[in-house]
Amino acid sequence: MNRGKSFAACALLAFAGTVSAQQMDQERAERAVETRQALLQVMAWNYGPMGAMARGRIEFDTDRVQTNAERLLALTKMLSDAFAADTRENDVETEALDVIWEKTDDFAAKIQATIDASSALVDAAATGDEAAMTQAIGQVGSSCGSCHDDFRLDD
Amino acid sequence: MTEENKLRLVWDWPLRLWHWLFAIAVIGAWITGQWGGFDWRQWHLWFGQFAIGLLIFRVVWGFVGPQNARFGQFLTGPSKLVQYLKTLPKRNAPETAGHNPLGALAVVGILGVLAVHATSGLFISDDILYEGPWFVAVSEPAADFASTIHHRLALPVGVLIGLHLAAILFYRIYKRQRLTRAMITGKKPADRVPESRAITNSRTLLALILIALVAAFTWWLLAVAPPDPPSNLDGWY
Repeated sequence: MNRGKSFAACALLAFAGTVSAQQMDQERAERAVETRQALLQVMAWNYGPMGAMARGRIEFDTDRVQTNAERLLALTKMLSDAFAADTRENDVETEALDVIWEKTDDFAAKIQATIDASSALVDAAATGDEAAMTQAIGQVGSSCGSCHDDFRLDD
Repeated sequence: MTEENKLRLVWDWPLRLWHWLFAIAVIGAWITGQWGGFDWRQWHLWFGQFAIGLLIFRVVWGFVGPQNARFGQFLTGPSKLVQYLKTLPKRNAPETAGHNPLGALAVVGILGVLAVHATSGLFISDDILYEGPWFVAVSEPAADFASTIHHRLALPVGVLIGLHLAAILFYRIYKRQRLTRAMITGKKPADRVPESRAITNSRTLLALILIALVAAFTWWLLAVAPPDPPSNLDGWY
């Protein structure tokens, strides 16, 4: 093999390497989006019944609130890691706005507010007081909404 | 009273009351939608649903109300519109008793866009706590479509509100026509309103019956007819 040929082979390999690195990147980005969406979906699955109780649509079930609030608290602690992968440059279908990775401090503060509100809900559920739970469920919803307002695409 | 300061009734009281209630509903819904966030969302829904009831009333009133409230009276063909547009820059062009041909277009535009805007809101959810009463009745793609419409119409509605206010100012300052006062008192100077375009009464009894009927129908449409949201924990996803 002469020098020219081996250079060409190296270039080709390097090119192939870039392509596959980019594809991996794309695949990773898609999985990151799926993971984020799955996390939020499971959060909604746990929050939904509590919201319905707070609105008086289903009867209050303190055990259920305790269980769901604890799960929700655990899930909210996954938010910052789930959004760590910056997918701004990837071609992914997402409602996550670029500003998530631009105003990182603001985003972190909103996540912390959700963790705090969920933690307060766990405390309220422990008392079994319906008024306290209703209030705390509203606060959690408010913290979700406040983050959506700034960081989620309305569409 | 001399002919100059005599006033003639052009806007019936149901139309005037409707106008200001609709302004409250639209501005309230718009502000709570744009800036109210989650904490004001319940108010956003109330304003929007109130607007729907008002829209239904206005459409019916456009057929059975006094003449200046009627679509048939103020909707004109393109030739009359062009004719009117030519007189628009003239400061002393005669004032129209009811809606002028351009204003008629604005009425239809505002009612139409807001009907779509408010209706689309009935089918969407914030994915947290609040949803329109008909959200549970539609598929996810349908709700997504309604959501796209609802959010993309926010800016055009804001522009329509701005245009409406700008037009009022234009007539007030440039043409010296007091449209706002007429929408409050219902009256315009007699020298600007031929007797045939004045209304003799507001059809009060008809209006009261219609208000009751529309209120009942809107209640049914938004609170009774929609399917119940899930009422137990089975299959809560």
